[in-house]
Amino acid sequence: MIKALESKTAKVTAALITYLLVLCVGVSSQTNPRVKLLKQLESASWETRASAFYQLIGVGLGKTFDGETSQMESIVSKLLATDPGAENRTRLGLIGLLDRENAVVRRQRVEFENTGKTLTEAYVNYYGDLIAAVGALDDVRSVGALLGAITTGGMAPRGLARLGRPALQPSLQELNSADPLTRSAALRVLSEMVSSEGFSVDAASSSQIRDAMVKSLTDQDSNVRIAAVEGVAKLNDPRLRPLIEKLATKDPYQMENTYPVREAATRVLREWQR
Amino acid sequence: VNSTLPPCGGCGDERDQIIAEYFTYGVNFVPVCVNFTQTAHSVYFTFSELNTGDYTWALVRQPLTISQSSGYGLDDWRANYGSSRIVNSAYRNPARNYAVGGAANSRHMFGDAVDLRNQSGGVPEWNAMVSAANSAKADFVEPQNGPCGLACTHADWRSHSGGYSQ
Repeated sequence: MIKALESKTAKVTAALITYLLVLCVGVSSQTNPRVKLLKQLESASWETRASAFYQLIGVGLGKTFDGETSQMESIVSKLLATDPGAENRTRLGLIGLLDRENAVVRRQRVEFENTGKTLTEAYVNYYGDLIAAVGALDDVRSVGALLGAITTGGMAPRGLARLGRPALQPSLQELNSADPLTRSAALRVLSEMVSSEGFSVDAASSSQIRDAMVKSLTDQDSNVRIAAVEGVAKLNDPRLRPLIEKLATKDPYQMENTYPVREAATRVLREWQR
Repeated sequence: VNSTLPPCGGCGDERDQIIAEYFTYGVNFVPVCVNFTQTAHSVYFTFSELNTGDYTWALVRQPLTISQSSGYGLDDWRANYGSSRIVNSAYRNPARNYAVGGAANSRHMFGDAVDLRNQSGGVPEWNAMVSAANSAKADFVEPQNGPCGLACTHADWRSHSGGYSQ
């Protein structure tokens, strides 16, 4: 009888504790500003998402973001450190946000092609800062999001290169893209990897990178060939010299009165002579 | 107290008006007197090309004036492209930025952004300019459906630390 009573009391106590825990978490998610901001990153309105993003960046900076994107690494690092319990959610929130904005840019591209309507400067400015923030996370889960922004300048390729091996195969895959800007950007990731101090390229990876760059020297698109030439320059492999010499004299692409691929190849040969 | 406010007496010239505009238009940063220049230029681009604002003073960050041999920046972009380029927009003071419909925190008010004209308006030239900007280590290049569309290519060096050119 007493045992049964004790068992019942224990069950009631456990239920009460569980109830209180659920209540606490619920209240906390409503009042914790970090949780609220992370929730706003999922808003349907880009202005709300951007505002929440900049508020998070402001937390890392300790004041309103003043446009110093060059400080993003330290800002992101401080942001993650300010609430260690929310670090993982913050990381995933930012990565998810870039995935979301990549999708917006892709969707709007269709509208641009049909109507000529462009994204606003405010939007693309925010998009650029977001790429900088996700690139600074140094998180292997950001590979897909950074690949989605790979054609928008150096920040996404550098962020991918910093990740090293986990970003290698996905970047190599991008060389099969039909879009020449994507292929060029993928080559820039590989090029950054070769020159990155943080990623020691093993023999197998090195060989894959070399093969990809050599293959791209004969890509049908001149801009991809230029990116390949610049990548090969980083390999500093004398065996590739004849290929670069050939491009320096024979590449057919002419623009106005110049031969951009030949000029890029000539610059590399000059660098190698130094 | 905003520590970025100009010192008492201000700069003593039209820079005071430009700085006041940063407050008036709610830009998220405010420059100080010594950040401005009336002469900074690069090998390929004159000061008047880099200053597309309303005043004789402008903010011009180092990537816009640094030598092509550094391997990055505006001159490297131009050199990689291979022929002369027209600047559609570089530095804009806040009032000018507002007048042309620029974003509240446009990089053009920080002095590290340039829009170069796509003279043909076609995709091949636009792609070639993007490729050249990437070779010049531009941190951000707006997508083709960005505000320039195919009319120009926007590149900025927002992640490069570095001061203002004088």
